[in-house]
Parts: sequence; structure tokens; C-alpha cells
Amino acid sequence: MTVDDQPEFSQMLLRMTDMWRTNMEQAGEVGKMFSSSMMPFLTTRAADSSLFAAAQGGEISEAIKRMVEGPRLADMWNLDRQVYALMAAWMEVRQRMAAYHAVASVPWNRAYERYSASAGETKDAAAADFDWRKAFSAWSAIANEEMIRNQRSEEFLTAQRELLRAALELRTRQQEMADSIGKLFGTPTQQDFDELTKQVTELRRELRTNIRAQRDAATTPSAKQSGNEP
Amino acid sequence: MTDARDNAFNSFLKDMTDNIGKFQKGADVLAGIRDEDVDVGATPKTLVLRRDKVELFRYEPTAERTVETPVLIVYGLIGRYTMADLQADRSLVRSLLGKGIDLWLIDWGQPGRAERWLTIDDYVDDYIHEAVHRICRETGHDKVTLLGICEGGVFTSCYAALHPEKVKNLVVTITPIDFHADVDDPAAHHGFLNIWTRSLAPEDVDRMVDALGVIPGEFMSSIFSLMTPMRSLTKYNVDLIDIVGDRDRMMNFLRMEKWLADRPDHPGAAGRQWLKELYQENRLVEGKFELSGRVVDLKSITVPVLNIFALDDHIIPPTCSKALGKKVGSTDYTEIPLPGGHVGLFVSSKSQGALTKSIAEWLQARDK
Repeated sequence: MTVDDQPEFSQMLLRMTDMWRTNMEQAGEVGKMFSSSMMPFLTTRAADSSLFAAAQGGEISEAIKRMVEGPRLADMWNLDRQVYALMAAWMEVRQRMAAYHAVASVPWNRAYERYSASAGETKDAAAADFDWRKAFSAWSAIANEEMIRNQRSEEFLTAQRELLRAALELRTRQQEMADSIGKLFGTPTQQDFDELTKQVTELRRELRTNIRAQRDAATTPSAKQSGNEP
Repeated sequence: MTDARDNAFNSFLKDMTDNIGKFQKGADVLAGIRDEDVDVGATPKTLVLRRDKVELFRYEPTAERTVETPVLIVYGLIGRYTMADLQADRSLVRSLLGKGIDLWLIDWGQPGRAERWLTIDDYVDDYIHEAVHRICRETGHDKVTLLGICEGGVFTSCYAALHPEKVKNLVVTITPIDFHADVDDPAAHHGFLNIWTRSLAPEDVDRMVDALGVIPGEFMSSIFSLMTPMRSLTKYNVDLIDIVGDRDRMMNFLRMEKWLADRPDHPGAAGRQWLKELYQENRLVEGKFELSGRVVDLKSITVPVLNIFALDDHIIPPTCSKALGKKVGSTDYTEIPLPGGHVGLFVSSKSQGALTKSIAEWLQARDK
């Protein structure tokens, strides 16, 4: 059976698997693979004239997203789907990170320009009294001002929000994977733990509300008068 | 004649040599300090009550009592109370004890994922309420004075509004009341927390709590670092040059670092309320904030109120704190703006005296 004989979903999956296998062979290890194949791709996109081009995603992440969002099968590919969802989320984080860094780098350039301009005005006599602490302090004040201005900008707020969303999506996918693996080995999942603590918190709340109500009833003047005080 | 650039270069080289010498001396100082030497929150106190991870302490008196009503310190869930007791000569706790005040403390401990379902309702109507009851039982008083710090100031304000019969006076410090009043603060470095939180959708806060169960302490630390960008970049290098060889100043620095590093996770459900209902929707000041099914009406606060805030507070802009004045029902409302920042108000040697004096004198005048 060849790749082309498979249904569309499987074809994509097989092509992706093949591509990743080839990359793995070429690069030798996952980390190396990422830095050699993904990082130049991301860096190029991040350096595009459109600042947020990096966040638009490329062919690879789009293919993975299509696989993740494809129709769900009852008895197969569910773990695989989670793996690809995790990969897609990881790629998204890298892209959002690149976009964030691009925005965060803007004030450094502005600070450099402003400081250069002010340093250029320094007279020879002042240069003779050069003090690196004073110079650093002046540069630091300019850089701080520029960074603060940048951190209030719409571009920064957008990049920060998108990065946070991507990071949380990745964390959610990681948790799903961890829970699936936990289930395989019969260990309690994070969801089980959360359910348990929720029940404990609610039970404790209910119990304490009752105890407080009894105490308050016992200490109210009317209760004392009627001889209900313990 | 010597070229000006030669002089500048020589000066730089000389400075560099001096600084290398300072760092070498600093390495010797550091080698002689162990983590246990960096003692924060060291003022002696006795454990009176433990409820889940929450503990109620009573500080040992150090002076003849001048204020009879017990004072309960309530810190927030972001950071630890140790900021108020950082070191012997920079400790609000020690200073107040020295003024003859009967001081109590709620320590929230180290909430984690197991506390993800705890709400502000639980903190105000259960933990604080039980602590107040216990203090009353131990001291024979029927009311206590609450001293809230930051988020703890919001908790104590809510408590004073919902349980006025148990509160003698309310003291709040660096406390946000109007979470949108940062727009009236002209300082560009003030109010990042407000701006950044409003830039998120309510669903983003839900996503965080759903994914992590809490608002992680490390996440809050990184947010705080970002608020003072250059300070965060220089504090472990350039800024260290001047203090690294001085053991006392180094110890001050390390105590501050220890406090900063001790940042517990914020319980998830309470975090949702804090970020969505207060930071985003500003419900407290609009009279729409509900705890345990009751609306928190700040007008119900009729006890004497002392509101202290820091004029250069970049985390809680002064305008956000000042809003309390127009909202409380009390006719005895005092506002004291002090110089300094959010943390500096408590740990700076300059502001320490003014802070303690303000609180102690205000309490003494109302302890009848």
C-alpha cells in the first residue's frame, strides 16, 4: 500500500511522519533538529517587514493544525492527535515568542539612537571628565524610559497577550499528554486531583458554615436568654 | 598635552580595576554568609491557631502596652508577610511592638494547587473571621483593629464592610480600591499591572487558572521584574558594585532577595476574582463585588479608617488607593501619603519611622 492509497487524514499523517523522520535522521537529535530546521524559518519570519508575520504560521504548522482539527476517530489516532496538538502548540509558542522579541527589541534601538545623539553633543572638555558610571546611568535612564513607553504600547500588549495564550495552550496540551500517559499506567491524573481537592474544599466550606451558624446562634443574646448557650 | 579620550580610557580602566577588587572582596563576603543567616520574619511570635495552611500568630510584646485593642496584620496572597518584618532595623512589626501595640498576624502559608478552589470569600469570611474570633476569645475584646497590606487591604476592607461589629478600626496600606484609577496617574511607570490585566480577555484569566490551577508565584515574579525593566537588568551586576564589599548592605540585599524569591502561588479561584472581578471589572468600587452571597458595600465601613499609600508606588498607583476616601461611610477618615515605593514604604530606612509613627499615633488617639 502506498501513501497515495491512504485516506486524506492518513496521507497527511504519513507525509508528516516521513518528513519528521527525515529531519530526525538529518539532524540527529530533536534539539538540533529544531535549531537547524525551525529556528531559521522562525527567525526569517520574525524579521519580515510585517512584524506579526511570524505569528501567521507556516506550511508545517498549518499542516499540523489541519491534522489536529481533522475529524476524530473512535478507536485510533487519539494519542497521535494529542502529540500533534502538542507540536502545534509548541510551534505557536515559538512564533509568538519571536513576535514578542521583535516588539521588545524596538526600545533598545530607540535608546541607542537617543543616547548616541546625546553623546555626540558631548564636548571634548566633558570627555576628559568621562565617568563610565555617569555614562551608564544616562544610558540606563534613556533605555528605561523607552522600555516603559514600549510596554504601554498596543503592539506590546498584543504580543504579550498572544504569547500568554500560546503558552497556556501549550501547557494545556502538555497536561493532556501527561494525563493520557498517566491513564495508561493507571495513575491518578491532574484532573482527578483537582476533582478531589474541589470536593474537599466544598465539604469543608459546608461543614464550617454549619459550625459557624451554630456558634452564632449560641452566642446571640436571644439564644442566651432562652438558655441555649452551651 | 594629553588627549581627552586617553584620560577617559584611563579613568575607565582604573574604575574597572577598582571594581574587580570590589567583586573579589564581595566574593569573600558572600562565602561567609549562609542561607540561614539571611533571617527574614524573625521577630519572635507564638502560633495560636492553625486552619488548613493558614496560621494565626501573636507577637511577643517588647514594650508597655499603649493601645489596648489588638491589631491584626493581614497581608495579601501575592508575596509573604515577611516584607513587614524584613530585618530588625527595617521592620514595621518590631517598630509597632516597640510602640506598645498588641500585634497579631495571619500567615497564609504556601498555597499550592490543592488550594485552587479557595475564593476571596473563604479568605475573608472564613480565615479572617475565625482569626478575629480567636483573637477576641484570647484577649477578651469584642473587636479588633485590622491592618491590611496590599491585597490584604482589600480583604480587610471587605471584612470591615461585611462584619462591622467585629472591627474597631481599619488601617489599610498600599491598597487598591479603584482598580481603574491608574488612568489618572500621570507617571508612565505606574500601573502596569492594571494596564496589562485589562489588555487580557476575561477568558485569558480563565485559561490560566484552568491550565495551571493557580496563578504561579514565578509568573507574578516575572511580571514584577518587567515593571522595572532596567532595574531588573542591572540589579545583579552594575548595582551590586557599590554594596558587594559591605557585609551589612549585602545582607540587606540578600534579605530582600529572599523575600522576593518567597512568592507562593495565588489560589486559582481567588485569582479569578482578583483579576477578573476587581482588576478588569472594578466591581469593588462600583458596589458590585459579592462575597458569600453578600454585596460588599464600602459605605458600610463606618469605623475610623487610616489609609496610607506610597507616592511612588508603581504597583498600586496612589490614585487607586486614594479612591477609598470617597467610598467609605466613615466620618473619621485619615489619608497619609508617604514618600517611597510599594516595597520601599516598608523596608526603606527613611520611610520606616514615618510609617510606624503615623500608625501608632493614629491608633493611640482612637483607643478609647
